[in-house]
Amino acid sequence: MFMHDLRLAFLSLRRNPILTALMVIAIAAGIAASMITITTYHARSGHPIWWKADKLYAVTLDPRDPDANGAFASLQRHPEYPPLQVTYQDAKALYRSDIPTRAVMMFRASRVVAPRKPGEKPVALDTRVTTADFFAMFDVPFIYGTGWSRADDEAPSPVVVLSRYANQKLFAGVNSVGQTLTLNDKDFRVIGVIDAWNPTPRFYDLNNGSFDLPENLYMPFGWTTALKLPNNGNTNCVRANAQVGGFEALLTSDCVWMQYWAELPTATQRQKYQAFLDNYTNEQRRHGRFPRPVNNNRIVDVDTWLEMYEVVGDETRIQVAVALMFLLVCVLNTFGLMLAKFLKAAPISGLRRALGASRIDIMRQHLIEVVIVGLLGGALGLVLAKLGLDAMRALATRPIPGQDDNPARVALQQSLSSMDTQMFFVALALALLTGILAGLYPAWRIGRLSPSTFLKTQ
Amino acid sequence: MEIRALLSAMWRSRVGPVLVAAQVAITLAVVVNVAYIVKLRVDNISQATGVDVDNLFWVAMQAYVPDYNPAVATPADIEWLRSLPGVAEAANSNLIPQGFGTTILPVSYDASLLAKEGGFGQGVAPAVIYLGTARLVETLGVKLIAGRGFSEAAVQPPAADGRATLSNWGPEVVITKNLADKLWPKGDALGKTLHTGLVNKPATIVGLIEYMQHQPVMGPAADLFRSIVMVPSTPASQRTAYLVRTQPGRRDAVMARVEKDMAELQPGRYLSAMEALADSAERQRAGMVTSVVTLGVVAAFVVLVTVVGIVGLAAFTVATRTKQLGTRRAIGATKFHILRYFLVENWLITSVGALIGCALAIAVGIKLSMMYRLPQLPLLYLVGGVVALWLLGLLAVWLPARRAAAISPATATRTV
Amino acid sequence: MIEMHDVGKVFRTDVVETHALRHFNLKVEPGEFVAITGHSGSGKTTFLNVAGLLEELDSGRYVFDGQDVSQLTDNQRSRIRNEKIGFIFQGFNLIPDLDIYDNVEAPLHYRRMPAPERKRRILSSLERVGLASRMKHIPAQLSGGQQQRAAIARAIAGEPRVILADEPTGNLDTTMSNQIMELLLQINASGTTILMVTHNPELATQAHRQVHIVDGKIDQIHHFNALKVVPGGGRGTEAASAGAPI
Repeated sequence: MFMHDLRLAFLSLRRNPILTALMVIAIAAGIAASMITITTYHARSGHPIWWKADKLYAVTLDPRDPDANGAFASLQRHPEYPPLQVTYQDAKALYRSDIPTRAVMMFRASRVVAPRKPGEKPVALDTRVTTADFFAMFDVPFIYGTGWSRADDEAPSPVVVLSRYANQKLFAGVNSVGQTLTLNDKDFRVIGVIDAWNPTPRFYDLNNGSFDLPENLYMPFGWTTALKLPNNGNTNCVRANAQVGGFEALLTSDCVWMQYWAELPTATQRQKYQAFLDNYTNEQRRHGRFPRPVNNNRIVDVDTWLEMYEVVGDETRIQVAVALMFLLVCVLNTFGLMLAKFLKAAPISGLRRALGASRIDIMRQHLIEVVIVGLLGGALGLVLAKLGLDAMRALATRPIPGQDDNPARVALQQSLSSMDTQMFFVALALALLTGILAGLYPAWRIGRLSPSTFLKTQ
Repeated sequence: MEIRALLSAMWRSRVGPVLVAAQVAITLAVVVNVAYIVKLRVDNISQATGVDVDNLFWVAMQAYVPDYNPAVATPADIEWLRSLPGVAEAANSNLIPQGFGTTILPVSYDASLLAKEGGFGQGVAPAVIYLGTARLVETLGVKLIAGRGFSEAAVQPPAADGRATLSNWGPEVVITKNLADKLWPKGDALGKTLHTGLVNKPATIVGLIEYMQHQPVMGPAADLFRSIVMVPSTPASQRTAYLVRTQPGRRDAVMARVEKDMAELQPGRYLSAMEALADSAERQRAGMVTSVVTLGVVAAFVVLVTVVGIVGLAAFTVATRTKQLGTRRAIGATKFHILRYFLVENWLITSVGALIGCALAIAVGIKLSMMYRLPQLPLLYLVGGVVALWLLGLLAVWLPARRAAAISPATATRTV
Repeated sequence: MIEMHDVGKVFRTDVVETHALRHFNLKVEPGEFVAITGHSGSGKTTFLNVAGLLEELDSGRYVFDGQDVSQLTDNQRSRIRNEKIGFIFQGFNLIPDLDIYDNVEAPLHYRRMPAPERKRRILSSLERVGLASRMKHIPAQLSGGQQQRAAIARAIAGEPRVILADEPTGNLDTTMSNQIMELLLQINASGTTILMVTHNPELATQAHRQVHIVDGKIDQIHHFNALKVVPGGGRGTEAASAGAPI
């Protein structure tokens, strides 16, 4: 029965090749546009550490002046959000709390590996200066060795962890644990090498591009002051009386430049921690800091955090909306063409009715025809989407001078504009949905007409 | 014209017209809003930069030895760069125009406004801060409309502490007219003192730049990025960036020479990055270009599919109404009557769709402007959209209508 | 009313040339009721098409209502069809999307006629065919006989000089046929010239004349009822004479 229907459907589609082609192309175009934009959206709205989504929290305080002035406030989309980073002195104070299971304070810097023999080129490494819990907290995988302890942060110990890429570049990929590395003018010992690790978006620090690779070098937090390490990220001085200029001023002023994360697996911990933050800012207020009267201290889970940073972006959302509208137009279009096609061929269905086919038979046969058109459109749409994504990638990606030659970067760009299996199923579902939405009514209408109406008229 | 009969005929086979009207409505809403979004982006992308983009490039030197001395290296580098054949000007700068980094500080005509308890009030404006050596203004190729560039003597040597670069302030500044007009609306900024918050530095305004844009952005920051302060200073440290302007057509040759020889002028450093400013500007705009192309292509497809829908419906109508069209001709309709019938029918469908589309477009426009901080959709776009859809609709229905008009009246007497 | 001199009409395909009408000569007087008979493919429909200005003739001369219409433009022909000719078709050819009132109104739309006048004519012609109560129905809601009466109403609403009927009873049963025929006779009696193509010999005998067409030529003419030209219409019932071949 099914094979018979299938054959009839193909015969029917072949009877009006131009109309069939128009419908397939319309659906294909709609699906291609939708898939291109949905893929981009999907890649950007990823959940980089979903398995710890209810455990990891970004911590923010609000040390801003009470009335951030018009000219500055209008630059912010959400003036109600606290600054998304914390000051050095607040980070140090929060770090003393033992409520979180783990906690990190950190920032991004840059170090250069001097040439080790004549003719060798220096290697610049993006550096994360962080406290010890970073690796355990964010589930960073190691190939060789381990991270460091809180004691190493305090000392600070001259130890570093390398990325897989840095280990490849500096030590040809062999186990480099125990090796010495001269960073700028200081010797460090390698204690660990991390494996390929690429949280997308790079949620833990969204300052230098949400879709970039993690750093290639990790260094204990104590070196911040010991080496007066400059911050390579974003520094935002949030009070008029903040002092800019010189390293000491940066440590004591109300300028935010550090990321702070806490691991708070239980609701009790979160409540206690929120109370701790509010106590802290109340206390600080007595010393003339935190001039805003109401506490605006927030502990934010990863997904909310990505939303606050607007990681997905307006452009992507607008594109998805426009593409889905387009798909809707394609559905309406196919609906009309399908109805026209079915009505034109109504006498044939009437004949089949007269020969004993039931209403259900007629509807099913037409629905199969519709689904075939949907699937053909979906298949063509996937091919077009692939071409479109490649074209978009070529259009959007430009080489950035001074960037390292890490092959993971290319892979990252690819992954941001490639369809995974999940996207394939989305495309399949969209194709079926468009086909059925477009064809359900026409098939029903044909099935409902009585055979006599078909046969009698000219 | 038999409008009433036409309407009742449409009502009896309403599914087709309803589908086409719905398509027209969505198409109008999409096309009008996309056209506006694209227009805003194209405006933004094509904004003037004020700098000599085509002949500029930038190069960054990264040191890796502790005894690297920018106070010696940087002036020597600038001298070397200026001595190269084909180079017009060169300067050390903290920012690259049309690049990705930004430094913003609050500025005012009154120091007390910057120290006010409770935050910055009226009379304080945010400004992009360029710190650069003596001929920064000339190197950028921006146009001075009053005063002069920095004097050589005003340029501060590099700060000892790399973190102090930003507060390493000279006694005079050059600012853009955009900023000057905000703080001194009467137009008498030249010679006045500009106070800068957070670094707490005063400086005399010695020159006004007609126009310069730091980066192309949309929304409220667009104005900020045209409010620029240039401070005579040497923002050199372990990492030092130079802007170089070449004579027309010499840029690539000079860049090749710089890549070959510049790093070796000093020990303990390497060339970490170099790019033509035109490429930086293009990279800065790549995302927006992609967006414009994507939206434009999709919107064009929306129109195309809707036109196909109109042609399809009309062709179907003609095919199924052959007999009655022949009859109409037999009982005295002229070809023109038939043509007019289809054009009016289509025009009515398009108009109903366009009416709903207008409401939809306005709703979408309001939603977009709220969600994405866009200005409201101007009504002109709506009017343009409706007129364009009318014309497209008539165009789309023209061929099927012509075919309908060509149906012979003798069709009426044919039995099958 | 209708004068055809040596009219010829040829249909050409790549292979065959069919002479649908050749050297066709016919004169129909005002007020006459002429039945056209002939086998399928004899050319009677072509004759009707040419007579009704639905198709152009290829040769000869055609004078309609005192005007040579052989060389008119499409628009001029449309106008004559609209104002001077009423059509009745075998398949009724009502416009399915329009109700009966709108159907009858259709031809009146193509001339500039004020709305009240249109309304008056529609109502009176519907009255005449006995369908006044059904004018808001669409054709699919009516029986075949009613549809044909609606079509007749449409044909007479424009007060044409000539009505061309193409097998008006071909799709109807005997009772219905008789009703329609009665109606046509009435219309003819009020002075409208009627040319009717029919298969039915009985109906043909009710006309003044029967013109039999074979192979695109007039084969025989039978005179059944002589036409009395009486001012204000009226129909003679005098002797019938057996026709002789011409």
